[in-house]
Amino acid sequence: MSKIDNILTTLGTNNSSQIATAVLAGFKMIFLPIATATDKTASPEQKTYTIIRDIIMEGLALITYIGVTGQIQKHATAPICRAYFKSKAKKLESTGILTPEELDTLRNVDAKKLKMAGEDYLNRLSPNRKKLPAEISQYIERLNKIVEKLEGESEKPLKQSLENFVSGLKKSVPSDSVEKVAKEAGKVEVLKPLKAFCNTRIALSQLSVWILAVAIIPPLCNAMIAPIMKKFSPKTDNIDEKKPVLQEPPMLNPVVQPHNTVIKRDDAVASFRNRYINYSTGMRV
Amino acid sequence: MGIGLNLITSNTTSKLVQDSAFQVLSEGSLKAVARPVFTLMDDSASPEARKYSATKEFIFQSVSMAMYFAIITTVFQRGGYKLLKNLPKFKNYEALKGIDNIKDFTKVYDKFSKGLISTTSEQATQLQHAKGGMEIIKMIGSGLILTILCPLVVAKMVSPVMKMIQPILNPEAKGVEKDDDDHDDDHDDDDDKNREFIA
Repeated sequence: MSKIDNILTTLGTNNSSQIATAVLAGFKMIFLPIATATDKTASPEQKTYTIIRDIIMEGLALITYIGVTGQIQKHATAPICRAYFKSKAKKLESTGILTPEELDTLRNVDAKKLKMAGEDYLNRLSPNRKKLPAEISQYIERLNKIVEKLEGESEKPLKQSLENFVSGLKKSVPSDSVEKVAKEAGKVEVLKPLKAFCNTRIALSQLSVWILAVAIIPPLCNAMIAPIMKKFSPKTDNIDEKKPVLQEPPMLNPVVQPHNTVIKRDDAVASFRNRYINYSTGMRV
Repeated sequence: MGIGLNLITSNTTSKLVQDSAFQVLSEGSLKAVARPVFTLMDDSASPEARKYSATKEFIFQSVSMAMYFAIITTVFQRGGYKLLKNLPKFKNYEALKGIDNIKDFTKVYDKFSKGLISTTSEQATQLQHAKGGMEIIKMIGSGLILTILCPLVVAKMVSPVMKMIQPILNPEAKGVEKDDDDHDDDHDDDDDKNREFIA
């Protein structure tokens, strides 16, 4: 399978949220500052601050979306799946569908084995895929059988071939006919372990991106931007302390200057009459 | 706890989250609120610079979401699927025969991912490839809109919007400005008197 096929399959079946958001963050890190720099209406300080902020913000997004989200997916997926199966086992206790042994297996799903099997499933297209130990394959198979036993209790969905479904679409035949599956009241639906693992992994990627975008990246940016702003515009240092002076309300009572140039016309003429001296001749006029 | 676990592991959530449009729009709507708030809280720049940056971020996120929704979910998806079907790699895909538009493809893939359509392994791979191809097209579209088109539009919108919202954000500033103008007028009168006197 070629690399293009690998990418297409990954995006088609396992399109984690961090891929698109990180790619866009990378692009924005370049183009947003360029657009800001071309804005002629903004002052240099506004531009500098916005450009630095955009670069830091998108840079952090690029790094954390890939790094942190990947780590969260790696470490949190299997424990969440374990909790999922435990909660399902609790609901199934009263139904009597499963034997105590099966319930116990479902209640205590081995997160480590599930993680290994899940990662192996995700790497199924990789040429460097390692062979999964037989013990783990058997364990997942046992879990699958328990879920299939639960599924067997209700009517299974009718499958249509792709060709029939597509021709039905053209003839405007309602496609919902394949979905008529009787849902029993109070029935507990349980996902197969690998399906639960993949779904959880995908949902975690989106949750992680949301949390990073809202609660982690902006405060981190605030912490990082202060020293950088000092380097780029030293005059902005302690700007808030200077600000009140700039924003003082206009003077309501004008200050009387000692030599007020605004004089009544008659007084001014009088003063000229009394005091004017022609310095070239030394004569009073 | 139980509801949260069901939500995280559900097929519906997984399907929704794997759509690039949902990923970008949900992230963008959260950023439209969070980023300006944190920018205004930052102490490292003057209030004017912060206001400019926060306004720009808010406008950018809002405009980009609107554009994304208007362009990607319509033009790029429709045109993108037609383009995809004509690409050499996808031209001979058996699974895509008879599926002429993105609407039908979405219906088919939806049922396929729920396990309601039986396919051969080759058909399954082809459907997955086509879905992956559509996601790549959406990403390219997002790149064009969010990184080239939107910043140019937003850069021209910031100043007018700032002027528009200034009286709402800071009503005192308008009064002060007015007072200043009155003051200037008084000075102008004095200047006129002086000029008249000198003449």
